[in-house]
Amino acid sequence: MNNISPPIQSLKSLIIATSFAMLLAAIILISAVLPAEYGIDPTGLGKMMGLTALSAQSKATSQMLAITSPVLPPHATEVSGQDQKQATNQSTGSTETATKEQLPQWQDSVKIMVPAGEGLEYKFHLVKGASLEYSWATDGAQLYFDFHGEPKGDKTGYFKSFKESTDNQANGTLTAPFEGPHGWYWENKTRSPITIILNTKGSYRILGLM
Amino acid sequence: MTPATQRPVWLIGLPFFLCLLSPSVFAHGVDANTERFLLANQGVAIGPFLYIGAMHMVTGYDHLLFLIGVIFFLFRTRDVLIYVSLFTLGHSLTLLFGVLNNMAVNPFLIDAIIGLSIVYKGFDNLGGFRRLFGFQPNTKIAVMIFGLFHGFGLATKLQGFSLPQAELWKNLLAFNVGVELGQFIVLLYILIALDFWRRHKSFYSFSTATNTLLMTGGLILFGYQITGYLING
Repeated sequence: MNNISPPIQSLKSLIIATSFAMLLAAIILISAVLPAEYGIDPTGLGKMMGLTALSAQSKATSQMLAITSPVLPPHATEVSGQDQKQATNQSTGSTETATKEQLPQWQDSVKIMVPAGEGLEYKFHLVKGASLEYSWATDGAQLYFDFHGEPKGDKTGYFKSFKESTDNQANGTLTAPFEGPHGWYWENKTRSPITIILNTKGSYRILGLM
Repeated sequence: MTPATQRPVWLIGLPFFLCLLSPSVFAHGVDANTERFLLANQGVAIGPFLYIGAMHMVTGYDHLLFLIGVIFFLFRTRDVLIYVSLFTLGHSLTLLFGVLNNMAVNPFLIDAIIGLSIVYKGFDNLGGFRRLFGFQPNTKIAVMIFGLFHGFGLATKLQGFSLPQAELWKNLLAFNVGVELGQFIVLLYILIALDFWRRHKSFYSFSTATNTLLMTGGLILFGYQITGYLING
């Protein structure tokens, strides 16, 4: 086969080609890619075309199968079989720590079921500086989670992530850096539903599943 | 040692390898099934890892763009093979080394570099380096370097799935072989298409436009990834 050298363009056509490439790339990036991927929309075109709805925030498709009694002491967990065993273990653990820690002082306790292969969000409204003390645990299986907050009224899809990991429990205290919804995005990557029990305490307003 | 007429060929080959490893699939959206598999998998799984590696190569658009750029003026099969092998070597080294030693590199930065490699290739195909600087960068070395970068990107992403440590190297090897297979398949398609196009005058009339669009595509990917780095990095 022939070995044909690529043509060497004139300086003029090089400059034209490069400028054109940069211009076109900038237009596409600013008007479509950045709004759709990150919710960054300086021109407003992304919003006009509905592209901002695609950005990270909206991927947290909220779906839930069941949210049972908002106040659910751990020992009251029903269910059967294996779950029963795990629930019992858990409540035993909780009871042990109850005397040392503030378990009896939790203001709210909620049981959330994350369907297999899906994700959902559970949020609290916090004012700036308000604290949220929390402790959650699953029935054993691990979940991907992202604990984050969004500034009130923010439309850009911005959010601040406080903790992102994969685990079957987590606890701690959050002091809100700004006013707005704060909470968890949990994603169940397994093939069976996972139940989370979330205990909270602090000055907040429950927004619930989103 | 390289005759002047061959230099452009070497140059062209360089970015090709870079693109081959394109981590787009792993970088920002291993699809849900693959992700579930990776998280749940607990042992040696040669078949699945082969497949994931191959799919990674076949579905990465940055990879495809780069391949087109590299092969655009590459007329000899031998040259194609040499460049692909160099890229594979570079990528395999850092992928294995990175995962086995828990070394992580930010995937956004790696993807941004891949985007730049496409820009580089498009510019090179326009004869930009020879026109502006009067010389042709050593494309073999460049391909190898891009390969090394790419391997680190993949290594970072794979580590995110906390793969089982026992006999990890077997899975990694399977993944690597899968990448080769996918690369080979994609190469076949691109070579056939280009070979066909080259028989027509339009190939030469549109080569400038094609490479300008390659640069555009590379710049978009670069902007996309750099923004991701600034926001999430």
